[in-house]
Amino acid sequence: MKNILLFLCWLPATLFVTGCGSDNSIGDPCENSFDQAALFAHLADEQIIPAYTLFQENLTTLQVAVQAFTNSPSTLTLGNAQSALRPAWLAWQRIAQYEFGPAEEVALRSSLNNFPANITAIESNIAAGNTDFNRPDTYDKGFPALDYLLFGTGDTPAAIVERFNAGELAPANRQYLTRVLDDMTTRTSQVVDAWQNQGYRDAFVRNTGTAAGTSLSLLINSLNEHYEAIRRDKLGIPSGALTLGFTNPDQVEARYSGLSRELCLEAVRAARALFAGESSTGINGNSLDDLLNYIDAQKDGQPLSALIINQFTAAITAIEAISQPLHLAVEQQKSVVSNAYVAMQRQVILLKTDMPSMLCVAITYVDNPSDSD
Amino acid sequence: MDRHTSLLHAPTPIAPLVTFRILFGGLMCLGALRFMASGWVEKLFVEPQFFFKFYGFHWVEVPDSPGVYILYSAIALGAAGIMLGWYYRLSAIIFGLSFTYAELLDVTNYLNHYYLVCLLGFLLLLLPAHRAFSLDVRRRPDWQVSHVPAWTIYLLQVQIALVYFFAGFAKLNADWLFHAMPLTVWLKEHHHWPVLGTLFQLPWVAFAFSWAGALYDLTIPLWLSLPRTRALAYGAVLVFHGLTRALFNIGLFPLIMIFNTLVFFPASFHERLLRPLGYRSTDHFRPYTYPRWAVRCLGPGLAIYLLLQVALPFRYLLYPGNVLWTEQGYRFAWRVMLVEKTGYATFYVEDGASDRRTEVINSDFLTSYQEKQMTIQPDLILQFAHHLASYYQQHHGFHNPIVTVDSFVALNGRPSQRFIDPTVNLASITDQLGPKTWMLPLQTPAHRFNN
Repeated sequence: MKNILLFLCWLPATLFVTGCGSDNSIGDPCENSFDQAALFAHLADEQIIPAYTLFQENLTTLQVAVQAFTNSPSTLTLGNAQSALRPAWLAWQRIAQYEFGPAEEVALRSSLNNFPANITAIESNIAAGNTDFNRPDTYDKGFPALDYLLFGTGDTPAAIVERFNAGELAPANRQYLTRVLDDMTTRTSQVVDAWQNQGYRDAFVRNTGTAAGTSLSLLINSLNEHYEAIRRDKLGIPSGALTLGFTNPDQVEARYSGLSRELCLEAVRAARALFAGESSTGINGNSLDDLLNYIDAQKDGQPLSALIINQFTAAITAIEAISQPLHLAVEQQKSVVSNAYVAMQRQVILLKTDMPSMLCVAITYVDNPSDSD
Repeated sequence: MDRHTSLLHAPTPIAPLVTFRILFGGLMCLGALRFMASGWVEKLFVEPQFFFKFYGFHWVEVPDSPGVYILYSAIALGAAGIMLGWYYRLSAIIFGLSFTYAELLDVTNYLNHYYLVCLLGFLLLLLPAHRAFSLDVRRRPDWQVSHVPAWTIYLLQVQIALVYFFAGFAKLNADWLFHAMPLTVWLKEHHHWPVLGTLFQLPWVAFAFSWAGALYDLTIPLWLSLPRTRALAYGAVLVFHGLTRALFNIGLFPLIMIFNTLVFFPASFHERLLRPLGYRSTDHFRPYTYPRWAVRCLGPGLAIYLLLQVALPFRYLLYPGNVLWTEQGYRFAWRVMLVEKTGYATFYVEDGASDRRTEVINSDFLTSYQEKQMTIQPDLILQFAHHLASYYQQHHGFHNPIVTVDSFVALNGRPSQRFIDPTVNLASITDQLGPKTWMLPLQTPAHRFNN
């Protein structure tokens, strides 16, 4: 009988002991009453949705300009289309980091900006009249395809115009250009519509907590994944840091228009804006930095949010120091490019290990393939 | 003979072994089929190009895809043979060898409960669990026995008690007891549960779960052993493992333990349990006796085995530092559910003969799951470094490649810290069982929380 009593006592006793212990100095590292919903509402309303709509506007402008060009190819219409590419591609850098929810569903990032463009694939697509852009692993569509078609298909504007004007494949070239833009605008509309009209905005704001699949986890994971992709694809591979020092100038983003440096800079600025909650209208609202400050996240005696902001500033300054398009800079400004690459790496550690650990968010790019214990 | 009258050799009805055999074999057979049906053969053994090996088992080769399917089919067949008691010893050998081989294929798949299955498979091979209610007995009626030496049951009980005890012992650390880590993080994952979800947000609930979990593990074998508390204790087993099953992605482990712990119940219970299946205990007293030579080997053999089972979990004491951080002495010690770790490792390979140098894209060599595991376990970091060295030697003509790593790990809610000495050439280091001096110690011994 004694044994039964003993057994019956141990569980409640434990609960009691620990229950009493909980309100003293022992704290819950994940416990916080931070208003996550307000944070998500700020991000959705002041940053994410405006960034999407700005992008959509710029993309429409680009589409109109490209249409004018395909309707009557001339150096004038080509020039207009070329200049419309830049604002659209820059605006894209502001949303590339939100690859979750609706964007993930339509594979927005791989559909719009898989680079470098695969020219052989594009040329054979054009020759075959193939305009199916549904495979996520091809490099024949989106901005890189526009970059090639509008800037890379001739040495002079006149030569490019010639390609779309004369010859057997001119209609096919015009059609391909149109279809590339159609695919981009269709996918973008779906995403914007989901955020604005299909209720994703509210679902995003309501989805609080720290578990996998919550908005916080989605934001942190996609920020991380994208930041690593910026570092690897825009700087690492072209600079040769990942390929034995052999530079790969042909692998830069926007090889033909030469926008690579600007695009890289804009992508890092966008990451900082997301982290700091800076909207394009200058409002500094709640974001990840405030959340870190709220739980007083410290590393080496300094606020983690400040360390991250400083590292963003360092990376931005280092990229600004590059004074030419990246395909030239990787050859002529090796150490400057290398500095920028290193500055970005320091940030990955803070963003990928410190921030999630202290916010109690697991890094879950992938689910465990099997069981765990 | 007083050996026969002694406690260990006293004849006891065979029924508990029969239940154990049927449930274990059945579950393992289903487990192997589930593994193949879930596409894990492709994910774990076909997709990766590189496999991490256990110390001393670098010779283990990963077969091609049909080979892995054959291996897992052998596991399923062996397990079915154990369940049915059909060519039992042969089935147990096939099961034990194929299962163990499958577990040796890649360290990143290591799970404590797979290790337990290897051990139980090995123990079952030694026990006469097929000598009643089996196809073997139908084939060879003279094999039928009614009783087995009591130690055969005790052996399984001790094995299970050791698992629980050490799992509880491992929880007696500051993170678990005083900071409810990592349970605090994991419980919050289930905030959407009705009622409990709200409770999980409360700090004291994570503490209650942590302490109750530790106490459960440390003492449950005792409560299962005492006749008066047994039924209640088994209720606790059901609740505990039912809850862990619902909370965490731990596969078959809860079922394994729910089945195994039945071995603590008396024979009469098992006879009642098996009766609906057609089991009848005979009135003839026919005890199983091990051949003399077997007794002579089994005595010392099992004594050494049990000593090892006690020694292995304590081997962490031989290494400096916090075992949760260093993971030296971590495996084969029933340390379950103790860490939430995030790591980041950047490798550099340098040609020893020129100034050629490169950073490595880990995902070119590893699956994302392998990479995640590698970044938090020092011996895997070393293995990967060696793999990089030989890769760059073969494919890029590097001479004496120098491999270094920039690695950071965040443990149980702490800020991240540098994990491996970044100046050390990992290619020049051989993995050995001694302390890994090229690791950096954990600087924050306990938590540094927000208040």
